[in-house]
Amino acid sequence: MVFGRRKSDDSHERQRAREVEDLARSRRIIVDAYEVERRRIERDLHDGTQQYLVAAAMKLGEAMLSPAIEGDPAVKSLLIEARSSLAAGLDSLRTTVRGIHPSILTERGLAAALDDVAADSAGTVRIVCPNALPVLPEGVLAASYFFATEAIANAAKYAPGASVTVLLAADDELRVSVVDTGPGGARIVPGHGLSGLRERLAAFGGTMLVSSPQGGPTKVAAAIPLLLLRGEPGVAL
Amino acid sequence: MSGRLVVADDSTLLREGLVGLLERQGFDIIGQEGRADALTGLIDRLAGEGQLPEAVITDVRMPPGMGNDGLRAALELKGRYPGLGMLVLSQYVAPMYAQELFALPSEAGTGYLLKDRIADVADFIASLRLVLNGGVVIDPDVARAMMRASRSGLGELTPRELEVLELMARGLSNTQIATELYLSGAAVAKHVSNIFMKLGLVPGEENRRVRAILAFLAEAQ
Repeated sequence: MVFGRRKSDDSHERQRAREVEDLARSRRIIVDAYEVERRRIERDLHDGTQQYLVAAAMKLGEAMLSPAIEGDPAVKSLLIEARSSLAAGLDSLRTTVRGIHPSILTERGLAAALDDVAADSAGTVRIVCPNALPVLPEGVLAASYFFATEAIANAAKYAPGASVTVLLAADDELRVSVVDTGPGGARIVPGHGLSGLRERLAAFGGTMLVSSPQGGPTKVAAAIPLLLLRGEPGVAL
Repeated sequence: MSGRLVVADDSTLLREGLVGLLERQGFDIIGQEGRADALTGLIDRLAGEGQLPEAVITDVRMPPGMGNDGLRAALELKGRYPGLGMLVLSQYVAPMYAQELFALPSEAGTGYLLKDRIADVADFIASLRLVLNGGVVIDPDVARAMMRASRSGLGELTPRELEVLELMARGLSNTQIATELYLSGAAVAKHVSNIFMKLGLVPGEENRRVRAILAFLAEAQ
């Protein structure tokens, strides 16, 4: 009798473990599907659009070396304007592409990729990652990066000049919190930045909380499932 | 005067555009490649034949891995051929890549520029010549990003000294810094010596000073 009950507990546990595993797998498919699509877009922009623009800028630059231009101030100023428009286009394309999937993310991980974002942002952005993060599935990595960069951009937009701290930690979930010292009062408005972030995380079981009292600070915190399968290393000890 | 160069970029459009531009500017392009592994192979072969180019101009993101293969090849080649100049062209501002490049001790010229800079052909050619002459060239945007990334190590510097440091990191001479910041030469010299004192660096002639600063920024991460 006792033996029989233990046996059925065992099989119940196995059943549960299988369900958890199936859930992790199907969520991974969802999160990876985003990633495949984003990578395709990034590759198209990098291999196509960006190359054409740089090539055009190069040719334009060479044309501007011609002494003939000095004799025609109107043409010269048109060419200068064209060159600065091209430069602005390349700049904005670079920002877009980096928001999609930088190579440093796969090569050096989340903290290093965010360090680069911090280094390149106009305000003070600090990335704090006290403990090494586990090796994350590609899609989870990308979703976390996307969340953090959007939250940093959001802080820069609504709390210009505020200093931003991004804290990264992992236990059974990856926790990314982005805190800014701005005036607070941030809300999740359907269809806007924060709401889009929350929806994207929710698609694979992630959650996002916003705390933003009047007077600040604003904290946007995500709990992102690691989606590790049985046998994959979790938090490094 | 011509420089013997090898150019590597996986985009045929860009590579051929750049090769054409350089040839019309009087440079001698002795080889071009579209893959990072082919680049190291080509340089090894040329070196074996006693035909090592004066400098390599390479893209960062290239096959076979489509990651930072070009940068890896550049670092490898710099390690193997200390006299080989290296100009890395990148589509992105990645201070970490620049740090790796400038952290390597090197006798030959080294540069890291955004690809967009080629649009200012005269400036680009001047940068290339600097690298060919053993100098150091860093993209202003990348220098700025490196400064931000190292901020923690620069806490003792005044805002003015930070401005001067950034211009030094970009390779500007004291005279150029004075013009840029509307300061007297004496004022710049004083800031420079304060910066070196605070960072614990030994002041040197200008080319060595850029290397010292970039190595410092690379370490202060």
